[in-house]
This record gives sequence, C-alpha cells and structure tokens, in this order.
Amino acid sequence: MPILDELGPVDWSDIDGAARVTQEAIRALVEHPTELRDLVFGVGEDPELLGLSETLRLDDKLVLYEALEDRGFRLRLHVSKNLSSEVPHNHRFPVTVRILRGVYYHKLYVCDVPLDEALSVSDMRPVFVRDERAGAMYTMPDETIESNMTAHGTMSLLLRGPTMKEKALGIHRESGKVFWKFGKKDETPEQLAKVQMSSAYFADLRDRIAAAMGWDLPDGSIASANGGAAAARA
Amino acid sequence: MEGTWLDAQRPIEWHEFETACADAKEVLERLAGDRSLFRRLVFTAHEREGVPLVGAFSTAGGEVELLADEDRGLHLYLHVGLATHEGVSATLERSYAAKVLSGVYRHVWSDGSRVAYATDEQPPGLYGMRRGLDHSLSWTDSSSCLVLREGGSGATTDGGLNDGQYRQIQNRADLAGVL
Repeated sequence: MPILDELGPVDWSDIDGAARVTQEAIRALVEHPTELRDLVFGVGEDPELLGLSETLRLDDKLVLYEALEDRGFRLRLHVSKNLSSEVPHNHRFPVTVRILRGVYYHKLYVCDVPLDEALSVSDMRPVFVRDERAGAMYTMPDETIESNMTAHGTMSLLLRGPTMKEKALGIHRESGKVFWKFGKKDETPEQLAKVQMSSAYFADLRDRIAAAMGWDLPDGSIASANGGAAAARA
Repeated sequence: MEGTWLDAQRPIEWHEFETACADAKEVLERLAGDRSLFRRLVFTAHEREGVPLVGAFSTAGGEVELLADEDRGLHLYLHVGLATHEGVSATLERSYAAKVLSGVYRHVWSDGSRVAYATDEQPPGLYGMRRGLDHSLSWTDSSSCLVLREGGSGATTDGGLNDGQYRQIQNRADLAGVL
C-alpha cells in the first residue's frame, strides 16, 4: 500500500504527536525509491491535484496528495523561483516541512502583541535561527511565526493540516508592510486564474524536478536540468 | 598551543541575537571543517594552561569545553550523546548556536502550554536559539554537536570532568566518526 494511504487521520491538536507521525511518513516517502517520483508524475494525470496546484511569484506549489477532508492532510511540493525577502508570517494551518534540496534560511519569532494591521516589525523577536538543508524536517502549528529565505531551486515537501483560521498574517521586515493571506474560497476568480498551474507548465516543472532529483522521466528518457528530455534512454 | 584562526576571531555580540548567530554559525562551520584544529582542541582540552578540564557528564551525555573566552563571547563545547535521551522542557538560560555532527537532536519549543515547533536536527544541522525559550532537547546514542554558547554566570556548565569521563567523550566522538 502507498505510504501516504496509511497515514492518518492526523491529530493536529497534539503537535508533538503529529510531528512524529507526519515526519515519519515523509521520511519513508522520501527514502522510498519510487513513491515520491510517482506522486509528482501522477499530478499530470489527476485534474483535481493539478487544479489545486499554483504557480506564484516566489515559488511553484504542486499538490501531490489530497486527504484534507477525511484524514486531515494535504501534501505539496514547493519549488522556489527567487531569493525571497524576510517576511515573518503565520499560517492558516499546521504544517510539517521537509527540505529536499537547497536551503531555507529559517527564522522563528516571538510576538507579544496581537497579530493585526497595527503590528510593527519591532514587535517580532527572532528566537530560533536555522539553516534548513536537505533532510531537515520540522513541524509547527498555525500560530507559529516564521520566515523562510530560499535560494532559487530550493525544493521542499509541505504537509499541511486542516484550516484553523480564515486568514493568516505576514509582515515585510524591510518595509514593515502588513498583509493578509486568504484561502482559495476567499479569493476572486481572477486571482485564482492568475496563479492556476497549466498542464504545459506542469510538464516543464515535472521535468525540472526530475532532473534535480535524478529521476528518469515517465517515457524512460533522462531529464535535463533546464527541463525536457536530454537523451533517449539506452 | 600555537596561534590559530580562532585567536583572531572577532567577539560574538550575544546581545544582538541574529548577528551573534550568524557569527557563531560561521565559527562552527569553519571549525567543523578544520579537522586538524578540531581534533587538537578535543584532545588537548585537559592541557589548557591554568584552566581546569571543564564540562558536564551524565549517563545520557557528556560535554567538554574546548575554549572559553569571556571577553570575546566564545564558549565552545563538544557535546556527545552517550545513550538515547528523552529531554524534558526547561527554560534556556543562555543563547547558543550548534552544528550537528552526527546522530539526531530533537528540539521541541513550547510557547506557553502549546508546542510551537518540533524538529529533528541531523547533520549538517546548523542553528541558533535565544535564551528564555522553553524547550526540550532529546538525542540518540552517539549524537554529537559543536556548541558555541553565550557566556556569563554558569557558562562553564556543571564543573569538572574526571579523566575517565573525558576519555569516554573523546572515544564516543571518535567512534561516531566526527574527530
């Protein structure tokens, strides 16, 4: 049975317990010779997963597995496009993250005032500063405030839990600008269309992921670093 | 001991946590990569002039002080897990940065009554933590890490090591392949 079919329901009210089971499942998935590759390649054949996948300014988010309703988790693969700036933020849901390649320059913050538009950068106090490299893994609830600065091509798996609040907050540390992040149901059709991942974009992204991970493509050819099949398999 | 790049290391300003972490991580990365100096510090920790062999020891783990320079904020240690250890939550008394060399260190940060973060740190794990955090630290047998810690009262941990304890820490680090 596929590894993720055996995961859950995840009890996210116990974060330490959720950390152990989700991290163990992701570890097994990554160490399995084919399961992660099959999940990535399978997105192109699954309109629901492709429909949930997004291409954003800073990264691509490929939804690999959906079990949010019945077992309390969804698995995404994130691929960074640019070096991001420092933006402390919380989430609408708890997460477990595993770095596949590249690095997250990761900070965790304590904030003693309410998270709203009146928030100031000086209210954010970094308490945990980490270089998250391939193999690193962590779990945190929706309330935890973090920032991730990533280099181009950094790849990570993010296993999210159920939605805990309508919106999450972010603040640009350089400018102090505060913004809210909403779920899909609170975004306009135009906003959703703008970030929707197309089949063509997915195919190119899949090939780049395969090249980075050293996977053969579904047709047996070898992926090249800039996408596409580089050579026919002998 | 003849002069090394550590002698020229600029002070670490622990009151500026983020800057201190960046500087401390640089020191730890460099030392982990400088196997010759690292080995020398570990195997001559008992020979430092006018300095007792400082560290901590329990059945779960041992720690030996490799360098202590209060003026420059450099308190450097090698920690080695001697058995698998399940930590309990406590308030961190001093900020520190660590580089994991072998095994797994599990950190669980609690913010009030809730868990705010749980992670397994493995090589090449590199991180800094600010004092005042409530967190638990667990590790597996033969885990090891380099630690650069804020000074101040109690910075030299729990006192002296005897020769047998010192040798046991060395041997376990050697067996873990980090020396």
